[in-house]
Amino acid sequence: MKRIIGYSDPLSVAPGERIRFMVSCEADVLAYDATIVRMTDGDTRPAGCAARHAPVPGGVAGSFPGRKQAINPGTCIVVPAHDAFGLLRGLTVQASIYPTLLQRPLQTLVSLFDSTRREGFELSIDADACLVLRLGDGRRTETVRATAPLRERLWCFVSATLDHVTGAVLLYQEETPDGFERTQAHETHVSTMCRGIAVPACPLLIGAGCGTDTEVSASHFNGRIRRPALSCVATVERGDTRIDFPGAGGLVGCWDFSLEMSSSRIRDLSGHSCHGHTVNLPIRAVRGPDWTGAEMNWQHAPPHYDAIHFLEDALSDCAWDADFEWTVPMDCRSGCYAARLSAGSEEDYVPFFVRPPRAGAASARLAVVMPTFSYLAYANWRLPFENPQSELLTNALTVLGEEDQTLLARTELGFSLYDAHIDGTSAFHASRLRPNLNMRPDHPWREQYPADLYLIGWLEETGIAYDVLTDEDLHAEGAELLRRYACVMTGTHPEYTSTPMWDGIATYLRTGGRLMYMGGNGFVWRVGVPADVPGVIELRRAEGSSSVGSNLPGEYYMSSTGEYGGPWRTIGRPPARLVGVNYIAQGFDFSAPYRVLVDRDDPKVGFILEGIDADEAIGSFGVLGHGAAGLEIDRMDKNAGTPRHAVRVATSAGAHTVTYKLANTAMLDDPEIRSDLTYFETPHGGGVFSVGSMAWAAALPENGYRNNVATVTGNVLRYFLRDGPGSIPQSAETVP
Amino acid sequence: MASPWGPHDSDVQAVLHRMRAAPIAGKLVLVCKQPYRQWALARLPPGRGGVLEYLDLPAFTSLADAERAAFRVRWQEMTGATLPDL
Repeated sequence: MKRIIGYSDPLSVAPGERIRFMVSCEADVLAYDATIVRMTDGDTRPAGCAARHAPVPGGVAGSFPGRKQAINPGTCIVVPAHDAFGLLRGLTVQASIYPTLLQRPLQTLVSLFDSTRREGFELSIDADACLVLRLGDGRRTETVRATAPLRERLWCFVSATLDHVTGAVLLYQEETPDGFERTQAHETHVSTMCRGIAVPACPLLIGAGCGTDTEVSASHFNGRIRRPALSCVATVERGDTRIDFPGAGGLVGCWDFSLEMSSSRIRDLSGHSCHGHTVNLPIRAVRGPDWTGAEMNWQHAPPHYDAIHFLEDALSDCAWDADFEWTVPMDCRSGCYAARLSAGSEEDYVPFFVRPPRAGAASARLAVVMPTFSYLAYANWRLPFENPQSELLTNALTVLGEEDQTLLARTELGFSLYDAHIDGTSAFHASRLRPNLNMRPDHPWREQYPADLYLIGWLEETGIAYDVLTDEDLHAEGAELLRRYACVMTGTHPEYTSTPMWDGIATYLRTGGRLMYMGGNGFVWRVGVPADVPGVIELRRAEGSSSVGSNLPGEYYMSSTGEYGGPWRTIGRPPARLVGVNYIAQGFDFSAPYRVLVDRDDPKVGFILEGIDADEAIGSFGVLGHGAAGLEIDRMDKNAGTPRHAVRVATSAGAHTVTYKLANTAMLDDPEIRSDLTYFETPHGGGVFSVGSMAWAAALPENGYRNNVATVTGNVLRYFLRDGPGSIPQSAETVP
Repeated sequence: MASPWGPHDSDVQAVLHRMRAAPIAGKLVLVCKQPYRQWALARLPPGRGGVLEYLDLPAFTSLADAERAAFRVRWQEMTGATLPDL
């Protein structure tokens, strides 16, 4: 298990800007050394072909004390302490709730409680699934418990009320009718000694209880809450008396979750302005009890989506204190960097990226866009040890590296977009403000970040100058950022893309840009970026999300942007429209070589094959599966987005193992499981070259970067870097 | 057993698929002890938050040897019979 882990903020930094590093060590790591290194190669094999990770002159180099920094996962809403809470002596608190996991020690729905001072109230669900109301009058606490349990996955109106004159408490619960199942209502009347609560000077929490000295919140709720409300008037006569509307007697707070659903803000309708904000990204724009199916888009019927889904294990920001920081020198070369942390045999790399200066010309003619949104999507991926498919995909025993062993032991580091929360809800958000143990150079799976470093290693070997950008940069600046470059290169698995990113690339290509898509299964998922929560992407898995399952019907529109989520092809943008190829299959045992399909003398595509014999297998080697066509692969499909003037230069058809069929059962009878090397021109002298394989870049290091995969890659890159516009002949088939 | 990752004929592959599709709780995995050099066989915990349970076997210095050892363990568990040494 890793005993030192860390993350940086930001992930992409420009010369002259400051980057902070947050580090946590296990108790036995008393101190560690930190060094800023440039990542110039991904080949970590013992016989790897390049020196790695050179220290950066002027970078941080020093020893720092080790300390353990806490992680507090769990969602809630925080309403800061407010004078209106002072109205409370007696009270009524109510909400509609939809529990998704009742077998937990304690789950709090609404809390205004200071356990040290014994002040306030807290409405929770106990381990027996019964409502409990805790009351504190400043001298003692008293707990009242309902006599009937709640049930999972049924909407239920719950109310708790205290008459401060008599001490009478009523706990009320009434399930919302659902189909043919008989629903239940139950009242629990109890006499207490409490003659009014003392009001604590602490925030009110929704979806969690008050924390300890080290935690903001605790006893997090798993499930949905709709329209919680709080009044200073007791309703002990009738438990079903509603107080959740403006003008209700004694109303202190009434929180309507259907307002401002794209933000972290929570609006109070009581008139007291007891507004709040969400913590750790509970899921908004989800179905409430009034959702009927008549509307599938939350923007068309907000009252149908007035619930929030709370989770005890969601995490958007570790919020660790910075251990050290670095101001990037103005002359620092753009590239891939990391803070290397070491203590004896313990080591961690915290990767980050130095982009070129924000203003002025680019510092190279080539930009490599590191697929950082896809790094987030797979951050702390638990599939290897939580999904039985893992071994079937590889047709080999699952190997757990140090990173996986750490994740297995530590559940508080947050999830990838492929994982499920403890209540079975799939992860909707992924954040970079936490250690991302999949984005590590030594990760044994050698995909994504390690594979992208093979590409970086090859560029270093060729001596071709390049700038490094990230998905976050492209999302923020779009085509204006790319226009500075003659050629743009992707990473090996740019799977997750926001609309500004897609549009930025498309605009760049429409105006003479050249793109080398160096990966597989790219441009497949549309993600959103919340405007007021930094470092996070949102995913909704709409219909057509076959292999990973879909979200609930009616929940396909992202809360962050209002856009329809899921695969790009479901909104009429198959990846082939952008890069000429569509994802078709995956397999993780043996990769395959390509065979050439075109004549080397072809004036349109002959340049790609300079130095390659007509019958030469391209890429019958490589770090990932011993072939260049492998893992996740894409093919040309002129019936599904590929421009009709695109050329299939080479293909791996017929060379894949049975795993590629078995891992994609829908394709069992499809003879066309293949990766296609594809080329087509775009307007004004632009062009696209796609490899359609995650394994291509991992073949580059073979034989000290002297091999035919490197030859083809170099042929295309040098052609695309020629002075333009005009070096690429305008195809008569592209738009003028 | 000579080439544990195949290609195999369909009968052998069917057996392997049955082994590889085992439930995740208690499933055999390889734990990397030294990158590219040493691995140990262990069982996954029954649920999230649990710990690995190592098999009482020496560490492997070859992934192929580890695959063969896992095949033997699984064969024993599935059939009750011990595979002869080859």
